[in-house]
Amino acid sequence: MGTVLLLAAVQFFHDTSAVIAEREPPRNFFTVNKRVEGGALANLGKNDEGFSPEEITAIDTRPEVQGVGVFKRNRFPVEIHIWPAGKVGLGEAAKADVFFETVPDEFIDAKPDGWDWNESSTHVPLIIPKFYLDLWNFGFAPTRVEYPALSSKAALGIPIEIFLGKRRDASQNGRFVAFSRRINSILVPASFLEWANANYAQPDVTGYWFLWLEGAVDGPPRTREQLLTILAANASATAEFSPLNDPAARRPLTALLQEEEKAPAPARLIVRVDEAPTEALLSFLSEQGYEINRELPEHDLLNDASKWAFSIVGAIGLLLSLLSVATFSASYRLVVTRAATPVRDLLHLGFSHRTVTTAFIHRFLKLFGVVFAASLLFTWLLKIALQGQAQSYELSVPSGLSLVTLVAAVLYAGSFVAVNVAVIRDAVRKLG
Amino acid sequence: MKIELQQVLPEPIPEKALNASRVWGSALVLDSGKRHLVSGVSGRGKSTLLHVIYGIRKDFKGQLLIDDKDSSAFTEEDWTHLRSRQVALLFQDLRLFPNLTARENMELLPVRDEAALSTETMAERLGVAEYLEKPCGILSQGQRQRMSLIRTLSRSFETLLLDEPFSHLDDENTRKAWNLIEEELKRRHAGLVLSSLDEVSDFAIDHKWKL
Repeated sequence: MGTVLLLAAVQFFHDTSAVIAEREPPRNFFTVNKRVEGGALANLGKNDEGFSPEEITAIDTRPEVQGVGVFKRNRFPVEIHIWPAGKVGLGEAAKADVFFETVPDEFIDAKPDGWDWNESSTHVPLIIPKFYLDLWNFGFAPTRVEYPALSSKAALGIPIEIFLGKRRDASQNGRFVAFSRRINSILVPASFLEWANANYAQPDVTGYWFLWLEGAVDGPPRTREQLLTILAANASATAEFSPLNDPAARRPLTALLQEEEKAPAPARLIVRVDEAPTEALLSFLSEQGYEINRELPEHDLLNDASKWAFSIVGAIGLLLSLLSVATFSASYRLVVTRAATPVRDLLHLGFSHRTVTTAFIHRFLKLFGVVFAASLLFTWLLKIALQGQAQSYELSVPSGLSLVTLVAAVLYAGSFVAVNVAVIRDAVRKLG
Repeated sequence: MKIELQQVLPEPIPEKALNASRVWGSALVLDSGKRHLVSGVSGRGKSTLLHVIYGIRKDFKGQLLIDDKDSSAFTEEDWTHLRSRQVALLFQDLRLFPNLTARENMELLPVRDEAALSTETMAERLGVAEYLEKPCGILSQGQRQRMSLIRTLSRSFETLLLDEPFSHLDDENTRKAWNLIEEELKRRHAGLVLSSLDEVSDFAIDHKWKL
């Protein structure tokens, strides 16, 4: 019993450590964004959370930084419907407003084959964080009967409807194609994002201009496209345009042709460093008012919780094992003592202590062997049972007992046998 | 083998026994191949003497020398070797394993003297052959005494220690037993220390001591 608990604790501690280590996001990648301060009202209409090219270069030229990737975002509303039952229209769909981002391919850890999209593709490939799947399985699914838990394999197959634009102007079919442990975002191929942005983008504040005709603002703010149409139709020399927030910066409408269409500044960067980010880099980023997103705190909690649980189970197992060593050796001393008369007679007949002790040890080893084998078998069965459970949650646990457990078992058995052999030897010697 | 007792004095022994004894507290040599009789009434330490020689009792003053070596320096292994090959003792309380048959008892020996008569022959001569397959626990005291004697005679020894071996035997059986003992002693040129309540006169004995 004690042996089983002890071995099981060692085994499962080892397994969970492995699982947790595997899920720990890699430390040599992290994302950076500007700190958002104030409430929603204060930030409405603000558009300064992006990184300017100079700021990106400043990070990129730091000595410990190996590369900086820019997140590009959709500029249109996206809504997705996930059909976990496996068929569109079957059962309940989970609906969510989401966003899409792209990063350069070399920053994607889980890039699958066929990570591409063109207008004739049947579906849009999506990469979501593995963490989202965990949220689904451990968060949503247990609370909603209509949402089944999904293994990552099952999740790859489920159909997703993607609605683009403010009034669901277009829809696409989507599929999860991979789960990333590195990037905490919903990724789509760059080609899809470019296409969708070109077709469904809503201009943000900087995409609108005032049109000035004969020194006065004419009508509502207009987009660049609208201004270009006006310019092409009626090339009035007096027509001017200005940014919404700076009427003084009026320029002739023809100057708009020279002005490049300004791409929105990226709000998030992904940074690659050698190992973990250095203290110097971290303080540089914090001085600039940037936030980094490196670890998901839930992992630490889980880690701590499981460590505690297994420590307690292990401690109980150890205690029971020590008790069993004590009782076993005490009872074996009793066995020898009860056989005191025949043992003494055998010694007096000229049998050596070694011979008599060996006879007892053989009997003890036989008994202990059976108990020990049963413990190992039981631990193994327990492991198989829990492995099934773990697999239904899509935790990859190596099958069989780990080397660490076997070493622990051998050490335990060795000390158990050593203690008992010493006890038997001592008991026989006292009789002789 | 030569066994010497020098001023050996076991711890709990009455004053009276000590004074009357020619054994305790004096120098005594048991020459190899000789036959010694130790007689005396109960409580004088006959068994104690045999147990001292056999190495079971070590709580005595003085020295026990075996082949000129001081026994107090003997290790457990030395004693094991002596008991398995050189000295055999027939205990007064026989020390048979009651749940084993007589034959199993005789087979349970560390070293058997292959030259000795077979178990069957000895049992035949002592009249207990029919009880060989019976558990010792159900045999009579006299039968068990003969079984234990056969077991002792099967052992390998240079000195044979017999502690009141005839106490439960009638004269006829005692004579048969003595003949067998003599035969086995001669075969091995072995010495004998025999303890008895009375002075037995009809056995060929070299030295007689009264305790």
